[in-house]
Amino acid sequence: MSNCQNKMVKRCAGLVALVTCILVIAAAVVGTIFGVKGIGVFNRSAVLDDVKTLTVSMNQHVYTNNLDKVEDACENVFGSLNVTYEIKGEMSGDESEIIYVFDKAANLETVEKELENKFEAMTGDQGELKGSFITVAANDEKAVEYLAKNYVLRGVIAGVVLIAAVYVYAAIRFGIGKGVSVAFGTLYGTLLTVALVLLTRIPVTASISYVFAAAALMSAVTSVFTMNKIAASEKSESCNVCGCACKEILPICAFVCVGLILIGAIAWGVKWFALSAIIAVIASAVAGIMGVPFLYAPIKAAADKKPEKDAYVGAAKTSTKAKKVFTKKEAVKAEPVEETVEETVEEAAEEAPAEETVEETVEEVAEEAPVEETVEETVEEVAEEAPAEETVEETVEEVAEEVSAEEATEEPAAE
Amino acid sequence: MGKKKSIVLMVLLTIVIVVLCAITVVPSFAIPGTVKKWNPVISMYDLGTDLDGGYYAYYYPNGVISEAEYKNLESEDQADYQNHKGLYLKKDAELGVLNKDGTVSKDFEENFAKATAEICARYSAKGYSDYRVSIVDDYALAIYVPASETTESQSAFQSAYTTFGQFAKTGALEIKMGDALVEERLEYEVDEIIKDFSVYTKNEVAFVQVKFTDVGKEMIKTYKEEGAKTNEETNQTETLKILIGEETVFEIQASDEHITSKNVVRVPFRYETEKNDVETMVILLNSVLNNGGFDIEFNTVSNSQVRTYAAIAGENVLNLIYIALAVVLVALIVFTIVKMGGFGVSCAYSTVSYLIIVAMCYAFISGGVFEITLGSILMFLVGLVLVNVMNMYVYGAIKHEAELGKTLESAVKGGYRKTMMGVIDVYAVAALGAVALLVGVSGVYTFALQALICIVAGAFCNLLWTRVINVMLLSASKDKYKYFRFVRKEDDDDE
Repeated sequence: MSNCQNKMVKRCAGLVALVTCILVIAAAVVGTIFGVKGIGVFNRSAVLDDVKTLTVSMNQHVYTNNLDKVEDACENVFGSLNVTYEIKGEMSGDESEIIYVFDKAANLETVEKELENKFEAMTGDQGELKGSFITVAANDEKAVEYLAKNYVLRGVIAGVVLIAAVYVYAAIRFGIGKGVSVAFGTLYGTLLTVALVLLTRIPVTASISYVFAAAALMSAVTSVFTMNKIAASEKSESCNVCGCACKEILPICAFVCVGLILIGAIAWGVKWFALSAIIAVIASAVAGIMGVPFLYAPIKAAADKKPEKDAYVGAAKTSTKAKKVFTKKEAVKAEPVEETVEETVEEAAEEAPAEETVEETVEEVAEEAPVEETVEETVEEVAEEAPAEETVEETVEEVAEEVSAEEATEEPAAE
Repeated sequence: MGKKKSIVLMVLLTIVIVVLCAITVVPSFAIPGTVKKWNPVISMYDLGTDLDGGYYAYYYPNGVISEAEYKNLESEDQADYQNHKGLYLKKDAELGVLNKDGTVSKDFEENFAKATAEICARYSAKGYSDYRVSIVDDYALAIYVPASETTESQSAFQSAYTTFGQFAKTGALEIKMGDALVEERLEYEVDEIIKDFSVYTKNEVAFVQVKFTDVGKEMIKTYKEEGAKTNEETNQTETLKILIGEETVFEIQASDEHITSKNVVRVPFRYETEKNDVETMVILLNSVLNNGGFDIEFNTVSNSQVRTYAAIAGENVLNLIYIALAVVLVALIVFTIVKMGGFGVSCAYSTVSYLIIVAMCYAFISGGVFEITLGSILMFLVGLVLVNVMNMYVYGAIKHEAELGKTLESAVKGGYRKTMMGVIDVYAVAALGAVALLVGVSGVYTFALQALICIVAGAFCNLLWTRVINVMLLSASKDKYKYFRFVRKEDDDDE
């Protein structure tokens, strides 16, 4: 059936399974260690983590007319002290402010002092912002809540429902074994994505849930597409299971990855999101190209090994006459008619290689050599030759009569 | 289809697509001679915090001020405060923040912790896709919410300001008839009178619906039958009031307008366009009903104290993403035309149609329901690529059929027939998956809706639209083999 049965492919399947297991187990271990330490299962970006903030407060006049000078002063100090902020916020009003959000490891004491000195000089008698009122304050922020109620639980439930829905569709469409393979492919792609994001410690925000959801969807798509191709190719003699959907899945993967690389390169702020999405796309491609066929092959092999005793063999033939009829029938069927049909088909195939032509030729052959009819006729002939029981009985009686008649004739002759 | 008819239809179709495309993506500009401004569809989106930032505010308990506020005080007033990290705590022992020895009061710490937990629960129940509650220097709160909760009659700023104000309340829930507490009269606690609060909408009005327990139902029934009484001393009608702390949230009239036949109270609160505010109020009411009040009060957040923060991914990130997507779009169009010839042109039409459908659905099937996030961008990109790759899949099947010697018409029919189930499987599974993801909350729910839009648009483009355009273009083409970039067998033989 499949090209997944040869040793080379089996080894590849084994290797892929081994690597995947290692990745998933490693991810679970890493996630547990970091989770227990309080760092977080995933590497949370500053948005979801504890941070430090630097608030530069000023009166409205300064904010309205000299905001750029204040911002430049801040950027210069940050640059000279080699600190970078993650997010910037503003407030405009009677009391205006700019807030800079830094990573929790940032040392803001020096930054605060430098800025205070700088603004003191700028707002002094000789300064360019003379008479303005600017203060600097550093604070620690400890993140307490950032996920909606039941966010993770409902997300996991949604994933389970997705896999179940995909399984039901594939099972109805292709069969239970294929349905299992498609569901497995979906799960495989999603788990691989989660594991790789965890292991690579890519900084995540709440947007990572979109990446995982997209991974589940794309894995389902690649898995069902592969299974569609497997089902179609099973009808032909040369069934190429492994890699049968490469031609379509690889372009999807390539184009989406190129798009994400462009997005990450041009809009640098979303680079981590783009990188995790690329991981999701690659994982879904692996699920479709390798995961589904490598699981389906053994399922199909197991299904093909179903015991022959379950197959229908026909009624038991016990009577001698029936056996005789059946044997003759089989002999007629095995004889030249079959060879003639095969020869005619080959000839026809040589003459008209196109499918339609072959079909036509087969039809013609069927008309020329109606095997069934011939067999039936032959059976009738055989039946005539090997008469029915009643006929046999009659023949036996006739023979008996003949025998007795002969005996009767012989006795007078003897006398 | 006749050649002339095809050409006319294609010209009309091209004009329509170009116009719609322009409406969707042409950047904003001032309309000459007017004060109005042209805005494309893609500028109408509500955006998530990754793309557009949001609003934030601080909750300072009474007796706690920021360093900026401290520096604004006169020096004699500054002496009343004690420094704690970046905050200043009032020394007045009556306020309960600091003990007489200058240490922070344990009661204050406990009340602050309880209030923090409850405020977190309120924001969690609000269902923001992206938000954050943090503790600032141990004794203040910073709340960040996305700038996305817009409605027809309310801006994102107003919505955020309302939410900040409401969720900061820490008073207890009370029911009063005049000046008397109903729970004292009935000798029941409030949560034994009221079961829960919810939102009810009818006739474009959003109501706060109050469900009472059996005790409460009896009280309401009596109130409705006897009607609101007039206080002889004050000469004022005493209606039933729901209060949080000292503030009256709403009053219940003793009429059919407010009290239904089943003794459920429905008080009109806002128009349906401001349903967000009603949802906020209901979350607050349920919070104080279930958890009571706290012995700590936060300073009121005024309009001018609501701050904005820029997009987390950086300023102008959305424009940069649009540029990247435009490059991808053009690259896909060029690639399909180069690879598939005339069929690639029909794919190009299909691609642009997909862009228009998704962009418009993102803008108009929202009504404040969901915002555009990085997930929306990702699903748009995936859908765009899927449309083109499925078209390539169909093209490959048509090419295979043609190589078997069939006529082009039967090759096209055969190609579509053989690939139809594969394409249907892909979109059916994707749609089922998106529907399943609707079980998720906030961001995942939004993502699922947007994925469904992309999937339905992609399915339409692949299963129907490309084929229609292909029929028209094929009818109009002179050499059908050249249209598909196929090499005819006779040409091969000639060579």
